Amino acid sequence: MVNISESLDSLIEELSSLPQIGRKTARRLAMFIIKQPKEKVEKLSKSLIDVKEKIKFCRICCNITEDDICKICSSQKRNRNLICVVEDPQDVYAIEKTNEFKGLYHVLHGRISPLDGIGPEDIKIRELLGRFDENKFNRIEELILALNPTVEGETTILYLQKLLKPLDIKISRIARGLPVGSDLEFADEVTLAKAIEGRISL
Amino acid sequence: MFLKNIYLNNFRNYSDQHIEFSGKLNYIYGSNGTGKTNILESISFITFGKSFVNSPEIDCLRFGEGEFNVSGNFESSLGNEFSVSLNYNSAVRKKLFYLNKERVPGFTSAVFGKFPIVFMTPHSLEITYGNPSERRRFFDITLSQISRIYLDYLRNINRLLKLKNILLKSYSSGGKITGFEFNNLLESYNDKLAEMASEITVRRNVFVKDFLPYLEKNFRYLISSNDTPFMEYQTCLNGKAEGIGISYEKENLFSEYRRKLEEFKNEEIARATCIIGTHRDDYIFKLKKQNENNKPFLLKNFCSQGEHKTYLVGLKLAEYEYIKDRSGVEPILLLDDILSELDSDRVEKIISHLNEFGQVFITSTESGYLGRLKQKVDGRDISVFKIENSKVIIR
Ligand SMILES: [Zn+2]
Repeated sequence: MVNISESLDSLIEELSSLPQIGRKTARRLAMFIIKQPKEKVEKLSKSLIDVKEKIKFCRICCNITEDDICKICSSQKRNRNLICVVEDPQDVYAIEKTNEFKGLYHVLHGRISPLDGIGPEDIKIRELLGRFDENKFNRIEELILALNPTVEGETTILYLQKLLKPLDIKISRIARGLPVGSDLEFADEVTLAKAIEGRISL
Repeated sequence: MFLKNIYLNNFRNYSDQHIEFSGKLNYIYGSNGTGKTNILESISFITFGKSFVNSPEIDCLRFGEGEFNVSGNFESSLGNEFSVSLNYNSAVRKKLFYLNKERVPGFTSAVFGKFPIVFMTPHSLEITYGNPSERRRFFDITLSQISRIYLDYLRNINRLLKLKNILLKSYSSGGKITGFEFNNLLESYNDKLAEMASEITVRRNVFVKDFLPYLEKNFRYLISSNDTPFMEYQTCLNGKAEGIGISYEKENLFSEYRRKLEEFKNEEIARATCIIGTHRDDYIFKLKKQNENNKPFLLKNFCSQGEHKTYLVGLKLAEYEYIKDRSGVEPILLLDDILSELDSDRVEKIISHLNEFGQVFITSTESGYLGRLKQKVDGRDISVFKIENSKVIIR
């Protein structure tokens, strides 16, 4: 095969290393980028660098932030004895939008899934354990595990529950609601069955 | 509920084919390899979400094409119309489903079970002859079509078993996980597995009890003796030994599974595979023979080929009736090239039964059965199709 352009190849290579992007999509994206005006491409490349330089993980909750410690963790209005554990930063925004939760968060950045090569050490569990150090942080009285109701999410909850058991704190999990985007009729039947099983206390 | 018509685009050997069906009996014939099964397969895609012979989608794509479409219009007994379409694109390897022209996020939640099907193919003979996975698949398909909760548990436990298998394999091959983390995670998986396995076991056990009268009734219809069929549900909890009963209360099952998982923990680690779980369940078919003082014989080892075939037809007729009773919808019956596998007595019984069914699709290499069909079913209710050169010709 004739090598048309080394720079194009390398762009395709980089793009296809992104999650959910296959070889074909990477090629399509690369072709799209080539056709864009130079200013547009410069803007894209600058925002990539900016995001890398400015965005970091909050030293406490691991949520993404431009500061060392995120706005939620540094707020004086939050209940510092209550932590809600979520899989992704998007989940924080979702819960914040409800205006119902006044505690702090902990973002795991994923869930344990050997299928995707993600083990316990690949998500922010060590950082979560660190937050129980009472010399550094307020005493944590309650933990709400708000992971997705998938097999991976549920088993990660069980894993955390076993891990945190010696700490002897109150642990709860959010009630299973209607999964987003699923058929109402279907969700009803399944959630109903789960609801009948009674409230889950861990 | 019946399928009024179907449109196939680049599906298998059909580039552009529209077919109008009879609401009762559809007889499709043609020589081997002409694509009779493909028509039934396309029906299974829009009712069942996948190929009833388990072919991957990519195999269903017409040679040299990038995507295929299958769409069909259904009519309910109340006269309501539904359209279901499937688009498969090989570049993204994705199936998109549409119900009444609107994209649905998942086939399972939106369509599965709405248009139940019962199918019999030459491969169905494996249900009585084959290994346990054939029987599990058969009953899983039956149960899933009437219970989405069951289907939900089934999909989740399969996912969990996959996760646990990978965990065991990566640990045995010296993965990066520490012993502490591994143990903690394995315990978590086992907790969840015990929970899900008991949900499935409870349902399978109830199902076997509910299903047995259907099997007995339909079996009796097929034979002249008073032999009676009998089936037992076998799990890793009651084991192969006969007579060891366990209580199928859900709470009890959870602790039984948990105990069994603990007992086999080291073996599972050593062999790096899941040993305990509902993925090893079996359904044991037996026949109590009248002339042998109603002694139960294991179908698998002690019964004739004829008895096997009677058993299979009995199972399929029972499945049809069971789904019809439970879902309140007459399933679509797909009989793919099966008549030639059965002897004339059993074929006669099926044909005599045709008026009991809703919509039926029969494929055959010959038109020979048509005469007998026409004696039983009103000619206006029969549509006959001949397949030639990848075209469907109405006869
Ligand atoms: Zn923070």
